[in-house]
Amino acid sequence: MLTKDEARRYLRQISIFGEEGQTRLKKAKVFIAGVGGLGSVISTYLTVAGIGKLRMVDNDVVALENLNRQILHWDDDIGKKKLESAAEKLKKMNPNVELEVIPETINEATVDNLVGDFDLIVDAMDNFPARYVLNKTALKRKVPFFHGAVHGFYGQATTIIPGKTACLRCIFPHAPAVTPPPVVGVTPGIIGCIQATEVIRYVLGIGDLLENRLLMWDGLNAKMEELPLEKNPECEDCSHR
Amino acid sequence: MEVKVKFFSILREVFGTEEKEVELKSGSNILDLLNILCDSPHRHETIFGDSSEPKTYIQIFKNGKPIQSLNGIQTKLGEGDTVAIFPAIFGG
Repeated sequence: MLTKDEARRYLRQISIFGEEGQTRLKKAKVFIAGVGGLGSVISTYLTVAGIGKLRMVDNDVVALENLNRQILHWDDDIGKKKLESAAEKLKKMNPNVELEVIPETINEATVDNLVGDFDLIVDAMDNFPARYVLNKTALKRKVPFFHGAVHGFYGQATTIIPGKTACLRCIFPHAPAVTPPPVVGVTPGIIGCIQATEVIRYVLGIGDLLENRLLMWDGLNAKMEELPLEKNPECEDCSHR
Repeated sequence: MEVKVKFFSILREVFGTEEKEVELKSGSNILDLLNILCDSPHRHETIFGDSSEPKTYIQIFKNGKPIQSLNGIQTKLGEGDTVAIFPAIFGG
């Protein structure tokens, strides 16, 4: 059931997918790993769309060099925990969304408790080791994993459905080196929006998701292309499941 | 024989193009193709680093299949094959 506030707040999208669709969004529980460049955009759009419950995990502090792209964090937030900075704004955007913030690092030891019983995992990380940990958790829990990554003007996204699609390890068996990549703010803007769109469409059950499709954005030449993906029958993460 | 190579992401800047046709001897494999493509120290360093094999995070697909599920860099190529090369990017 939607409140009067919700029926009016989401009016322009309810006209697309009805109150039933909006109620589905309201019942969804989405885990967002990271509140940096991608996470700022993903959490913003899922908040204004009316996702019922968002759990966000990040253990970082806002720094000046974040501000070209991490749009939930502003000049006054330098030195604050990113989760505190993000939650402040998101709550003002939409008080209807239940926000849970956990200032922790995602690793093998912490991931199970952090993800808990959340239904969807969104990748807004900045390193592959953490992404692999989330990939394994998604496979174990059989929940969808919405991958995104950026570098300069380039980005990529795909939606991983355990048991059905290639997993992250199928696509990228080995992690790249960890030197901080260049990032122009508009790139996580685009990729984060794509990931948020995937989450919304998954919850609504509409459209064709990026299943076994690696979307590649070339922002230098304004081109969106796709590579088909398939499960690796010898994948160390998913082939035995 | 001729194969099509498609570059993605930062490799487009390294190789100066989105795609190119490459002429290969019959019986060539992925490694042979890479050695032809890496015709400058910068290109070689980008793909191979200090090794004689490509960096582990450079992903290569032949006709839509990752070469790890084929025969790795020994995967043979044929007329009209499409090879996609892209690095794992990780920023967020």
